[in-house]
Amino acid sequence: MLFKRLRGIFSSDLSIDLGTANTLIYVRGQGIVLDEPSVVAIRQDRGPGGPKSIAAVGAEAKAMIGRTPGNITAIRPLKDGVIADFTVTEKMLQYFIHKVHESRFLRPSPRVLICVPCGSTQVERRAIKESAAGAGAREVYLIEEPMAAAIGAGMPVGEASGSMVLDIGGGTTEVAILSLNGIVYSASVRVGGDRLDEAIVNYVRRNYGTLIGEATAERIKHEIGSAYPGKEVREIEVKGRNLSEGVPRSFSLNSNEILEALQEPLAGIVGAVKTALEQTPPDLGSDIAERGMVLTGGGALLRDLDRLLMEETGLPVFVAEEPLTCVARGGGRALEMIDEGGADVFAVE
Amino acid sequence: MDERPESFNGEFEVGVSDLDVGERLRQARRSRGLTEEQVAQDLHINVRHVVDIEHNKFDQFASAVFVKGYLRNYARLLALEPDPIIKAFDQATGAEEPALSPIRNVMASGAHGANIPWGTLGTLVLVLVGVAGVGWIGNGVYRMLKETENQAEVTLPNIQLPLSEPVEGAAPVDESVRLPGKAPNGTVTQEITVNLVPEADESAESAPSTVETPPELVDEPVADVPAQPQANVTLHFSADSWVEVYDATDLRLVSRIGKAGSTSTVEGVPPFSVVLGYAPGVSVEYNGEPVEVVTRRGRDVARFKVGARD
Repeated sequence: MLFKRLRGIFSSDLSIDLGTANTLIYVRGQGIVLDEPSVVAIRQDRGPGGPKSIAAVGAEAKAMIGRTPGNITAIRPLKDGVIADFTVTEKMLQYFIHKVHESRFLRPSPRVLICVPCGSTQVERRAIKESAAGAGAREVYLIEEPMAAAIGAGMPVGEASGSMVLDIGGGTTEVAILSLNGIVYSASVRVGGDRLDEAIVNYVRRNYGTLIGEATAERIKHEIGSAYPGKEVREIEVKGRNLSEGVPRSFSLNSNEILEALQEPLAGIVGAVKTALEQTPPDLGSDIAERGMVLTGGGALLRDLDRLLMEETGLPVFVAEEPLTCVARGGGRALEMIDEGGADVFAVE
Repeated sequence: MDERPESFNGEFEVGVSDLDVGERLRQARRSRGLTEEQVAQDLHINVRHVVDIEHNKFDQFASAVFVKGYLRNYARLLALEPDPIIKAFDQATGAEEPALSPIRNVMASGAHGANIPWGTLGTLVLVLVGVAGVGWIGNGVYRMLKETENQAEVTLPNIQLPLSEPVEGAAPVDESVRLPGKAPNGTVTQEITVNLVPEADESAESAPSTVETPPELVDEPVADVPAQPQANVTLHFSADSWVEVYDATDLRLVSRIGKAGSTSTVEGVPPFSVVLGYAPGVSVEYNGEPVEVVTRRGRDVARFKVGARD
């Protein structure tokens, strides 16, 4: 215990946004120090049942997704914002925490704040907490993602007025209404960047009879994906395996097709926002109608998503600055608040 | 001289960039033939907000994050590049960090607050250990100081002696004190010298309340007192024991091992500090009266004073 505390002196406090798609680590006073995909590649030698070892973690492992030989599997240990594989998550966190403390000679033992989806269950929260503790954290705090996102976006969450935040992550979309440092309403729908990718894969298979991988789908989404019909139509050239011929074929997709492909998951997000507005107490609702709603998370980068939500809800909607890092930065700010003596914003475990 | 250009510079900068944000947007809007109402409708914000933005009245908004959001959307609507406008806004308003400050009024929560005092507690324990260590080392020094205090106390019995005769009742005692006070110093001196011999301990009990008053009257006489009262301590050894006796002047009267069956008597100025290495094997008499030797529980060593008055 004492030694752990001693090691703690030589470790930095970390705020970790343990996301389905990416893991970000924010260090107090240094900013975002790590932004890597939440992917682990596991090597299994000498056939099934043989010893397993970590082949790669993060960006290196992501490059392996869908391109691995038989003895290596690249897996994403988190699914829908929560831990799907406990051991691998622990290993991944351990790797990331070490990576942040690269130059230190002592085993790091930092205080760690982790953001959890507000829809996660007690069991899932405990699993996240324990895998962080297993990865060497001295103390583990949990904060609900929308709260961290709102703090990171710079919203006045401490005021007695409603602030609405929509955090679209890889696995989940969190919508929350905050006031006085607390969550008035929150909901989590398991629609996120991954579902958008899946929708693109399905669309291409259905309409082109061609199979594309997740990585290709993600690239399509980044380059020509949009949520609202725009003036210009963009095109992209992709390659996939033609299902009837069985050989790789090249074809082109345009942004209107992708817009069509994304309709279903986007309807899920819009539905969650509308439900949240219905459930909001009228006084807070009027604050939100006046000021608007902030989008954070990687999903907010989808072109014209704010436009879609603006048209659907009639509220002002805008994307926060650096939406990808909002949650991690907000967590970092919350860590500072622990030292200032106020720790009201933390999730009950 | 130094201040003028600076203040001028500052004003100039703020003025231009302030003008820039709102003015740039207004000009772009007019060139596209849009009205404020149309913009407000498109951005789903109040017309008032559009007017505020175009007049650079950014303090009308709850937080910088909202203004930036509106500016970004507005710029996009007018097909302007949003980043330079945001940059200009940042320059005009300075750091936008205060948006986070409202968090400060969060109440401390017990559950998490419990984590904080550990550091303080650790430091406190360290300090305590340090103090204890210093105290232990400085024990000898402390004892020396104590002894010199005892020496100081010696003067008291001499002063109080005149009061030992009108023993009964507090009132007469008081009077006897007051009277010499009014008398010239010389008479007091006489009284003292006459009454020096009687036992000190009894007189002490009779007049504890008078201790403070006389010293100022008797400063000189104390110095003059020629003969210190003498007393003796007799030690009977039933077993071998180390013995050390100091008198009030810090003079070592005896310091040796007393053999079983022997008796030794020492004389000196009371009170005596006595150290017995094996207290159960020694009986002590002070001026012929037996003294009860109290040892600490489970210890054979006894350190005590005889002939002292409190």
